[in-house]
Formats: sequence, C-alpha cells, structure tokens
Amino acid sequence: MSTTESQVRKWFWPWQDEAEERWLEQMAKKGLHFEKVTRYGLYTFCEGSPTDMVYRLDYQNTPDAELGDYFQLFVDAGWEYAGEINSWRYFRKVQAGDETSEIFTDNRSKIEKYQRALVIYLIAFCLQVVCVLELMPQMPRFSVDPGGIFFFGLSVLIALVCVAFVITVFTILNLVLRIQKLKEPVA
Amino acid sequence: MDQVAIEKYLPLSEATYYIMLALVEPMHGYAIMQKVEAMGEGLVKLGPGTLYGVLSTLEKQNWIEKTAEEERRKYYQLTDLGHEVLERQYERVLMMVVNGKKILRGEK
Repeated sequence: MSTTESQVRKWFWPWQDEAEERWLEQMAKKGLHFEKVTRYGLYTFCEGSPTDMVYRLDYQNTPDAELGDYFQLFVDAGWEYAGEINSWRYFRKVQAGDETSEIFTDNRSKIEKYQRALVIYLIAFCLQVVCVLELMPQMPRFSVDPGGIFFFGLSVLIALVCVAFVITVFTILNLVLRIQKLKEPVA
Repeated sequence: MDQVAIEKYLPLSEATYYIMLALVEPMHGYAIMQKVEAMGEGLVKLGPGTLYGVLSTLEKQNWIEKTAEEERRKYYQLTDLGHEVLERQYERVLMMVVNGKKILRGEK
C-alpha cells in the first residue's frame, strides 16, 4: 500500500500541549494523520481518510525500555502510542460517540505532568548557567586578538548558550504559570 | 507509621481512594481501571495517565507492592501500611457521610 506523506515544520512549546492536541485533531479531520516528529519540530503526516481522532500528550522522560507497563496500560485502555518529541508522548484513539476520552482524569495528575517536565528544564537551566560562567572568563584569553577565529568562535558559542538560556527561562516561567493556573481552587 | 504520620496524607484524592480499594486483591492496571469505573457507576473516570501516576506514588510510599509481572502488566496489592491508610481514610469518609446525614436528612 502506498501512502502519501506530507511534512510540516512547527515549534512545540511544552506548556502548550493542549493546543498541540487540538492541532493534531484538526489535521486528522483533514485526513492528515500524525506519523512522527523530529526533535526540532519537523512533523510527518500520513494522508488517509478524515477521522475524528482524540490526541493526548503526556510527559515521561524515563527510557522506553523501562516504560513497558506504562505503554501496556495505555494500550489496554484503548490508546495507540503515536510517538514522542523530547519526552512528550503522543497517544491517540478514534473518537467514539460524544464521550471524550481523557488520559488524565484529575487536576493533580495534570499538575504532576507539568512538574515532571519542569524538573528537566530546571536541570537545563542549571547546566546553562554553569556553561556561561565557565565560558565567560575565557574571553580575555582570546581578546588579545579580537578578530581571531577563537575569539569569534567563543563569542558565537556564548551567544548560542544565551539564546538557549532565554528559551529555557521562558519555558520554566510558562510551565510554572500553567501549574499555578491548575492549582487555583475550583470550590 | 503512627496515626499522626498517616493523618498528614489524608484525605486521599478520589482516584487514590478508589485505586487502593481495588487493590485489596492483586490486580494489574487495566483491571483496576475497570473495577474502579464499575464501583463509580460511571461517575468516577480513571484515565491511564492518572492511574499510572498514582500507582508510582503508592509504590514509592510503600502503600502497595508489586506481586507479579505478566506480559508487561504489573500486578499490585495493598501492603499492611496501605491497608492502615485506607482504613483511616474510610473513617474520614464515614464521618463526612454521618455529618451529612445529620444535617441534610435530620438523622441521628
């Protein structure tokens, strides 16, 4: 059977997992079924018949080999594992009737999902701080020759780490906001 | 763990309470989901993400333990400590019901 594939490039922000779910559901309605996504957000869709699919995301950074019982549980509950991007795992099932299936059925477990992701970004934050603190003092060593290749290389490296740092901080702030929003008392 | 130590974990969430109730006998994940949804008469929903998280937490707290593993399905059962916690939670829930009955139904 030959299937046509199409690719879309999109950035995935970790606190927008629900928007990601809606997006994949819209694509499925158009007959574009999620096939895989690369670390940098290149999505591959497989063209098929338009379907009402439910997509749900979970965050689990445990290696797949240790998640056997986890995947089995989702399969038993009728979910198909569709892939992952940076440990965000995609599950889907065909929408049956009016009832919407959820993989998280209380607020606490939704909060824990964002907290699992938050831990990883906090670790990244610490590593990036260490990185900048280690690189910065090296600048004067090369500044005797500001036009030199080492000085240029080091500047680019520091700039890249700084960009990553800004993205990490932005992500952490938004994840914390998301968690706070979920913690707001409902009664 | 003494009474005071247990009290600080109470009240349990609805999901945790039902999952622990199901685990008075050895059971794997999906069987727990089915049993809980049957007990809850359609009102209590238990998604696999929520269930997996609760099972991990309960195992870490030593309230449940793994009894077997078959084809990637892990079977769990309450530990003695888990039983004690569940008993304490039951008393709390009972008190809520008794107080509700007194006030809403005028019963003594």
